[in-house]
Amino acid sequence: MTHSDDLDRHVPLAPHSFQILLSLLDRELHGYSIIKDIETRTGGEMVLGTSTAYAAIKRMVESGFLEEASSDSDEQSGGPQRKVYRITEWGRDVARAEGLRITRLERMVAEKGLLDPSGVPATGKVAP
Amino acid sequence: MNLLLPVSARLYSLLQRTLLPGMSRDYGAEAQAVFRDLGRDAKDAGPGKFSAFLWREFTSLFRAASQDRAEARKAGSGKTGKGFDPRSGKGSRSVGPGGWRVLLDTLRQDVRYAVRNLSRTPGFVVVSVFSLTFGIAVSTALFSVANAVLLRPLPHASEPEELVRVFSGSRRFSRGPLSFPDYLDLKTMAETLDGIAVVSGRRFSVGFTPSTTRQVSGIEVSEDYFDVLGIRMIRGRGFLPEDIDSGGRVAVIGFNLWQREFDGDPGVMGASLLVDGHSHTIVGVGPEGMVGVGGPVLLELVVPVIEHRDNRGRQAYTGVARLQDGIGPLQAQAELTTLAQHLADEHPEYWTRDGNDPRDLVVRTFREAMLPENGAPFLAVLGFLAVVGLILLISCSNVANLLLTRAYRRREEVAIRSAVGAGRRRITSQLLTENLILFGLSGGLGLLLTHWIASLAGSGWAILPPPGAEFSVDGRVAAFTIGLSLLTGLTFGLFPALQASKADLVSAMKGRTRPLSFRRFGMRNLLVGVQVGGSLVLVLITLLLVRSLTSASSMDLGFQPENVAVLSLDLSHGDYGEEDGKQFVTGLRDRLETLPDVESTALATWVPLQGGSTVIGGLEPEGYVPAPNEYANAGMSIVSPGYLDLLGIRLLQGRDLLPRDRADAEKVVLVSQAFVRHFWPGESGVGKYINRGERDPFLVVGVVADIPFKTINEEPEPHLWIPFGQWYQSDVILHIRTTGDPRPLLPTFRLQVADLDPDLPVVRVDLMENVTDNATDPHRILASALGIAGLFTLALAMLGIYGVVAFSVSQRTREVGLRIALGAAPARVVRMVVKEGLSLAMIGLVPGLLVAAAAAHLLRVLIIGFSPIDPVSFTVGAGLLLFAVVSASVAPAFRAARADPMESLRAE
Repeated sequence: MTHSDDLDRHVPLAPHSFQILLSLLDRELHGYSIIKDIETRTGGEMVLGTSTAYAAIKRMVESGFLEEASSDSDEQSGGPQRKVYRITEWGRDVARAEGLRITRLERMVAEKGLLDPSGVPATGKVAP
Repeated sequence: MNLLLPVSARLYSLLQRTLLPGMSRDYGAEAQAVFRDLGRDAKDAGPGKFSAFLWREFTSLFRAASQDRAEARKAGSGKTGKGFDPRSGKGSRSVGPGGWRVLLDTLRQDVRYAVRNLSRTPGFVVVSVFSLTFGIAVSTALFSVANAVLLRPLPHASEPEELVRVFSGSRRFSRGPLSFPDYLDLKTMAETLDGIAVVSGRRFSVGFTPSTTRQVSGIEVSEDYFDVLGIRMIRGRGFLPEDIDSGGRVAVIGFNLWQREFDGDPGVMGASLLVDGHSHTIVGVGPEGMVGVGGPVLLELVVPVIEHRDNRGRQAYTGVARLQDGIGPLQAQAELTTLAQHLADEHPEYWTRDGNDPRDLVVRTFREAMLPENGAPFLAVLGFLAVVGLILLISCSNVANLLLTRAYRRREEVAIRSAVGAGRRRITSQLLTENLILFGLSGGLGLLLTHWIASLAGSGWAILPPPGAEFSVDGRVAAFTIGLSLLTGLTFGLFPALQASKADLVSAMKGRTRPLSFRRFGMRNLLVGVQVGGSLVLVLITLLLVRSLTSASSMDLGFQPENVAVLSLDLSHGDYGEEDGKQFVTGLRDRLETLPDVESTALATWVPLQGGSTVIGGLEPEGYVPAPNEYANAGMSIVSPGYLDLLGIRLLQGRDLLPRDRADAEKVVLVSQAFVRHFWPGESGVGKYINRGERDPFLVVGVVADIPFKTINEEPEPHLWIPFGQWYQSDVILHIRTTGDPRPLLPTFRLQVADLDPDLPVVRVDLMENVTDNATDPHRILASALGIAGLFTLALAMLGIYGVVAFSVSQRTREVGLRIALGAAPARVVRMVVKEGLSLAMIGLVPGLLVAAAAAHLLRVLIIGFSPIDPVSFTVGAGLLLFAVVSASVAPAFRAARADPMESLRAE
C-alpha cells in the first residue's frame, strides 16, 4: 500500500479529530488545553465533551497520528499526572491531506457560487 | 451546586468505566481530571453554563460509547465472521468477557424495552412512583430521626462507643444531676474513666450590643468537655484550664452562628461577643452540625462553667465520660457505686436522702440515656423499626397491587411473546427490570424528598423536630434508602413478574380469561389484607401517640407558665449589696407593674423545669427521727410574696409568704406536700419547725401543692419555699405576668432595667414557656415523628384500597351491566360493591387489631397518661379505616351503576 493510499483511508477526518490535530500543529498540549483551544478558535462553535475528545485522542494515538510527549504533574490540583500530546509526522501528513480536501471542497463551493450573495453560480449566465 | 460537581464527577467516572472500558483503562483518570477542571470553569461561569456542561459531557459520553460499541462490533464480525447477535440473545454462555457482554447487552435491551413500556402508561408510573417515593421518603426520614437520636448521638465525637453518661440517681429517679464539686471529685477519683466532663444545656442570649441580643441554644461545660469527647474545632481551639484562671469569659461558637454573625470570617478568634450580658472572647468554632449530648439539638454556643464551681448544693450538670480501654459500662458502674458511697460519707448532707433509697451514681450508655428510663430500650427500638417497616410494607403493597393489575392486563402480550419462543426466564427478567426501574426511580426521588424534609427541619420550619434539631441525610441514611429500594424492588417486583410470565397462551389468545372477582384473586386479596391490616396498625399507633402527646402537653403541671415572661438579672455585677439589691428589685418591680399590660410581678431564684435544682441540706424537721445514715435535705426556691399567686401554684394549708417576712422577722418557709408526706406523714406541717443546727430554725407557715422541677414525669420530692426578704440572692429571676402575649413587651422590660441602671447587664429576657420547654426531649421527637408519618400513611393506604376496589369493579363491568340490564336497581349495585369492599377490609381488620395491640404494648413507654390498649383509640381507628374503605368503594360503585348496560356488555 502506498503512502497516499494510506492517507486516503483516513480522510475525510471527523471534524473534531481534525480540530484536535490543528490545535497540536504548532505546540504540545494536554487534554484540557486542547478542548479549550478548540473552543476559542471556533468561537464557541465546537465545544468537545471530555469523552469525545479522549475517544478521538485514543484512536489517533493508536493510529499513530499523535504521541505522548511527556507527563506534566497537574500543578493546580496536585492530581494525577497529565499526558501532553504531540502531533507525529504521519499525523501532520493526515492533517495536511484533510486540509487539502477541504480546500478543494472550498474551491468547488466558490465555483458554484453557493455562498455568493446574489445566489447565482459564478460560471453561469448572468441575467440582464 | 456545591455538591453537584463532585457527585456528577463520581457518576461520570462510574459510567465511563462501565460504558467505555477501553478508554477508561488508558485515559480514565486523565479524562476525569479534565472533566472536573472543565466543570469548575463552567460552574464559575454560572448555572446556565454549568447545566450546558453537564448535558454536553453526558451526551458526549453516551455518544462515544455507542460509537465504540459499533466499532467493536464491526471489528469483531470482520475478524471472526460470527459474533454475538444481540437480537437473538444467543451467544457464549461461558463467564468470559463475552459472557459478560451477553449479560450486559441483555440488560441494555431490557432497560430499553422497560423504559419504552413504562412511558406508554404514564398514569401508572406516576401513581406508583408517587406511592413508593412517599413510602421510601417517610421510612428514610424516620430512619434519619432514629439515626440522629439512637445510632449517631454524637456525630463529631471520636470513638463514641467509649463514651457514657453519668448521672446521680436514686431508685426513684435515675437521671439526676451532679454538682460541679461532685464532678471534680469524680475526675480525680474514678479509675475506670479515662476522663469525665459535665454539661448543662440551656438557652443563652447572644449579641454584639445589649439591645441586639437573640436567644440561641447552647451548653455550659467543664473546660475539658471537648477533650473528653474528642471533638475537634474547625477553627481555633477548645477550652484550657488557663481560661478559667483568667476569668473564664471565653466561648466556642457553633458553625451556624459563625456563618450568620461573622460571615464565616476565619479571623473571628479573639472577637468579643456578649453572652448573657457579659463580654466573652471567641476562642474557637465548632464543627458543622455539632449537637449536645442530650439530644439532636444544634449547639450555637459553648461556654465554660465559671460560677458555682464550689457549690455542692447546686446540682445542675450531667456527666459525660470516656471509659478506659477495656472497661465496660458495668465495671465503671461498679466503681462509681463505691465512689457514691464515699461521697455520701464525705458530704452526707447532699448525698444521702434516706436510708432506704440512697443516692447513687448511675452510668448509662448514650443509647440508654436517649430512651425513656422505665421501659426496655430494646423493645422501644424494635417497635419503632416495626412502624418503619409497616409504612414501607403499605406503600410497597400498593405498588405490588398495581403491578399485579398491570401484569393481568398484559397477559396477552406475554402469551404472544412466549408463543414466539421467549423463555419464561427471559420474560421474567424483563418484567423484573421494569419493576426495578420503578423502585429505583422512587428510591432516588425518596432520597431527594428526605433531604428536603431534613433541610426544612433544619431551618426550623417543620413542626415536628424542634427548631434547630439536626437531622441530616448522611451516608448511612443514603445507604439505607438505596438498600431499601433495591430490596423492595426485588421482593415486591418479583412476584408480579412471575405471575405475569406464566400467562396461559390458549385462554389469552381466546381474548378472554375468567373475569376477576375478589374471591378468585388470592394473592391480591392477601395484599389488600396486608394493606388494610397494616394501615389499621399505623392508624392506631398514630392515634395513641397523638393522644399521648396532647395529654402530656395539656397535663396539669401545677402552675401556669402561659403569659409569663422571665427577666434574669445578676446584681453582683452591678456591685449591689444586699440592701441596694433589694431596693433595686423593688424599684424595678414598681416600674414594671405600672406598665399597662403587666398584671403582676414576683421574684424567684429558679424556674421550675429549667433543669437541675438547688438542694438545701442539714435539715432537722421537728419530731422526725432520721433513719441510720440519713441526712434530711430538700430542694429549695427563694421567692417573693405573690409568687405562688402569679404562677397559680396552689396553697393547700396555712398562709402565703407576706411582705412582713423580712430579715428581722422570724424565719418562715412554705413546704411542699411531698415534704410533709416524707417527714411528717399523716400530720399537718403548719406550725412545725425545721431546725438547722446552729442557724435560725424555719417556721412552717404553709403547705404548697407539689409541682415538677426536673422533668414532667418525676416523682414529687420534698421542697422548701423561702422568702426573698429573709434570704437574699444576687442572681434573681423576675417573673412578669401580662394580660396578653408577653412577646411584644420583652424589649420594654429590657429598657426598664436600662433606665434604672444602664450598666447592669440583663442576663436573659424570655417567655417562661421557652424556659420550661422540653420539646427537645428525644422521646417526644420520636413520638411526634411517628405520629405525623402515621397520618400520611393513612392517606396512602386509602389510595391503595381505592385502587384495588376500583380495579376490581372495572373487571366486573360485564357482570354489572348484565345485572342492570336484567333490572337491578343502581342503588342495589352500589350496595353490592360497597359490601364487597367491606368484606375485603375484614380480611385485614382482625389481624390488624391484634398486631396493633402487640405494637402498642411494645411502644407503651411512649404512651403517657392512659393504657396502651385504649378503647377510644381502638374504636376510632377501626371506624376510620372502615370509613376509608367505604369511601374508596363508593366512587367506583357509582361509576359502575351509572354505566350503560349495553356498553358494559360489549366491553369484553
